[in-house]
Amino acid sequence: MSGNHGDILAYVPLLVLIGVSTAIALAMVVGSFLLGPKKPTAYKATAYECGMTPIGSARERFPVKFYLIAMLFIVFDIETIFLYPWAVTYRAQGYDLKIFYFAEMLVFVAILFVGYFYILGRRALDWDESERAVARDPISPEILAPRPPIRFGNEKSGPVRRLPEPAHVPAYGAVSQEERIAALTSRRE
Amino acid sequence: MNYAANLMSIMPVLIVLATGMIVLLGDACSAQWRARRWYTWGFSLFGVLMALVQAGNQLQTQMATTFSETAFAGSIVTDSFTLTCYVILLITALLAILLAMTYLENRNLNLGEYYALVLFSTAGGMLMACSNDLIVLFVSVEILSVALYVLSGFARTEEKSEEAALKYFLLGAFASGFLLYGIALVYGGSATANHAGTTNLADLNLYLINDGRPSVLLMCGIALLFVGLAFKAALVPFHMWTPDVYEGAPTSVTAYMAAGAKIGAFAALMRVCSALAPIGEYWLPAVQTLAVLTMFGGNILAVVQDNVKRMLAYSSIAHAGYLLVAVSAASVRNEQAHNAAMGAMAFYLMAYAVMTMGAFGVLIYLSRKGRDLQTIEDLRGLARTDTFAAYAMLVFMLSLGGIPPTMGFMGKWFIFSATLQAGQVWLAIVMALASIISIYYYLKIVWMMCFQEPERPEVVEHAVASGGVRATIVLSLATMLVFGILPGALGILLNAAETTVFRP
Repeated sequence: MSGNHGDILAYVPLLVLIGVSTAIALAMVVGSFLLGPKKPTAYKATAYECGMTPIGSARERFPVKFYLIAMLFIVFDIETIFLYPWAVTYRAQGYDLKIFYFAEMLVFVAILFVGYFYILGRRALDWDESERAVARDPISPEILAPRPPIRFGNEKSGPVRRLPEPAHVPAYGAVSQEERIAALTSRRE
Repeated sequence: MNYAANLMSIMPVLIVLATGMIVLLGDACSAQWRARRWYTWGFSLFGVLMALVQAGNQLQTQMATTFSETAFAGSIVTDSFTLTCYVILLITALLAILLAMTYLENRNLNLGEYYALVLFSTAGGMLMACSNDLIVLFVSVEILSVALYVLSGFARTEEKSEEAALKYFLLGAFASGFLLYGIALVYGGSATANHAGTTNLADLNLYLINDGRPSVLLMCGIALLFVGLAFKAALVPFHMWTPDVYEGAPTSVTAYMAAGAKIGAFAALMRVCSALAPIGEYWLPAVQTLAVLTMFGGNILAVVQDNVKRMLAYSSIAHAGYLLVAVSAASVRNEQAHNAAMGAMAFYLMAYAVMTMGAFGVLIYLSRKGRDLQTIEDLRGLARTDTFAAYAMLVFMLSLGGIPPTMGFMGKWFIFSATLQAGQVWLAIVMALASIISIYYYLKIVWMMCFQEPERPEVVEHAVASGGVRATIVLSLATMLVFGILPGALGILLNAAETTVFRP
């Protein structure tokens, strides 16, 4: 047991890291709670749901753009993280291996860029679709083609009935999201 | 270490991957390229042909020098078996691309991604055939599968296709988990007091030869490994996804999936089983049980199907069973039987790939405007209305059923004799019995086509009978008949085990 002190001491930096990161995280949360100005509006007070209305019918059409960008971000993020272990091993190599490592990373980044140019070419990052609506993409008639009505699996028990929304809530898309949420939340109170 | 030599040894894979990326970029970014759809199609064909030439060259050199090489620190091996599988896979990809264009246009799905995904999954299958390390194997299984998940959901506006993609993806992810867990346990189980475990198949083989006392950990790992690979190869009882996915996916995708994924999976199974052969007596009974279940399960379930695609899906399961018999015969400690079985498997893979592509090619040829051919009833009286399609289908059905003078018969015969050589007589008999069942449903289609009156005697218009589809059917037909009569002309397939790494 006495010979193992070195092994245990090797974990002290890890302990310090855990302690410091916990402290920083706590400091951020508590600090913003104590110091931040609080001017809540109806929109700010609602739960954050990735840019969607958190209250209302779940059977609503919603814009998919946020999820698309989030998905692409995650893919590229993870691929870029790969640069870190590469950089660590790169430093430890001899000269000839360094050239090889560098060439490999160039190839990797080139493949990454193939993906990037692909999503650019397919206009996946086009948040505002106005340009696309004007110059109708010749590639995607099938995307724009009418789809069969969505089925929920309970058609046999009669047509799907949606709960009527209160009269004071404006229809989806008629007003801004903020006003709509304000109307919906006021109903709850 | 010579990097150029490393890269050269996987040159066919690199060509396919590069072609895939160029197709993807050209299709997405160049308006001119997008306007002319056949750029994508033609360039993919060109890339696959280049890779085929390169693989053929390497195979010839390989056969002349009988020297197998490992690359990338032993994680990839290029021997005659690898190169043979390359050639078979590339031919499959070639046929899949030939079939696709007019069919996809008919379904209003002609997007460039189709070709890129087919090329990527082909590269994955090729990497599976050359992997000499379980980690490389896992990565290449994923390359193959992820592209196939997307492809099976390619008809995005159709519920069945969406369902197929989701089902395949969820079950496939689950199976990948099994595979990875198995690899981890093999790594742990092959560790000794002196050195850490290994995922390298050659090292694993050496370890088993020298110190062949399989621990519980290792056996669990092997079992999980088999579960993962059995899912990819659609063996009973891991086959449940197959009919739904094959039915839901667009037909050209189904054709590619039925042939390509199976070639990759069986190449990998063959590699793993050859490496594990020194402790064969421990796991061989499990493989043989799987083979019997798969042959009978696939054939019996195929009998009751009305949908042609579902029937062909179950028949592909049954064929996986026959291939598994070859794997079992290759896993005995008898070099002659091992080589014979490996060659038989390569031959059968080739025959299976070509006849499956041909049969699905006929289904594509017969699809109407905007919809696929669905039930066996749709084939009623085809010999009157369309003689070419009916007689092509007749040959493919006879070949799938294993009736001479077709390549399917020769393939079965080679597997049968290799199994006898390996001394597994009962398995050979079971295989013969199971293929008797299959005759029923293959001949049911023949009966429906040739001995029934058509409902409407006039010829139905063909929406997709293009040169590519016709070429696929004629090429498959010629292959079936020529090599069914002269199997020796494909001796290069039968000698697939010439320079393999593992000697039992």
